[in-house]
Amino acid sequence: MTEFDRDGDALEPFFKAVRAAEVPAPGPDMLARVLAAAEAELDARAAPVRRPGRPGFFATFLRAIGGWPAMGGLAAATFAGVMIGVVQPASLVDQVSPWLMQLGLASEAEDAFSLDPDAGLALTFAAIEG
Amino acid sequence: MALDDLADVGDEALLVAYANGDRAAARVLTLRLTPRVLAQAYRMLGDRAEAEDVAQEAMLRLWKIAPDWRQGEAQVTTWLYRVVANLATDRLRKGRRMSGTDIAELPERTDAAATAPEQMQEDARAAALQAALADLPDRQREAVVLRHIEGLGNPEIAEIMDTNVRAVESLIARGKRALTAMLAPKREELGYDDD
Repeated sequence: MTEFDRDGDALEPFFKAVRAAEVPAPGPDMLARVLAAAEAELDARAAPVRRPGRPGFFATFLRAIGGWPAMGGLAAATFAGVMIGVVQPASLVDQVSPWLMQLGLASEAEDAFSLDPDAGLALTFAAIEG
Repeated sequence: MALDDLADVGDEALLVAYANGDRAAARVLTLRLTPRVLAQAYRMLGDRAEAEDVAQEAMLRLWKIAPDWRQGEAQVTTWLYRVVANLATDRLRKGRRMSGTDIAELPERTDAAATAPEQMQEDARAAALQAALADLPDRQREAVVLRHIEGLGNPEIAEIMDTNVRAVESLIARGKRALTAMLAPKREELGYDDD
């Protein structure tokens, strides 16, 4: 083995050559890109973050009842109730009237749904007396 | 704040100012740190284009970490050394091994010194060392470069490499032994015997 092999300092001329070697300086383009990246980061941080607002009444209600499927069912039930009230199906009146007249809760079949205001009370007494 | 006023401000204070939206601080840091980062990347990679990529990536990481920078834990330059070393090591791992670099392939110097035999010998030595460094294990190369080319002290190298001083000394010693073995056969052609 020679001196070169044994002595770590023998590497020093090589290190010195690398240290002395010309290193590239950043050009204006590179500096501009680095600075642009810095400013882009600032801009990105400064941009207002769109936070989700508090849910409104309707959204809260919708979530409370179980979402749009539940809303669909609710709408259908409401529509059905309104339609029954508006149309008053004749078959319903025909079937209920005799029973109401028998109980004395209605005087005439065609007036079956014009209930006596005291009819509920009379029905209650009738039930109590057996 | 004017750039002149910021010239004497430390790196860490500038980074905090930048994180708080000071664009002038970003300009000072760019002008101050980019040349150092590029030089380190170039010395590790030996290729300008790759060194520029690494330097830009390192600076971008600095901008991104600025809001979360923990003051007093590390110097900005130490942090950058670590980032550049890691990025350069990744590049070398990904296949661009400089061991294949032929001295004859090195770019020709265009200045007046290009023809001076001494300068050619210096260039040849630098190229030979770069090629040998590329064949070292990653940690040994990093330690040797930081110690003998970047000129850092062992405690700082230990901090950069996230290890202790004794481990750094061991890495450097083993790295230099390997370099010596690799360069010994070339000592004559590199003019070592003339020194």
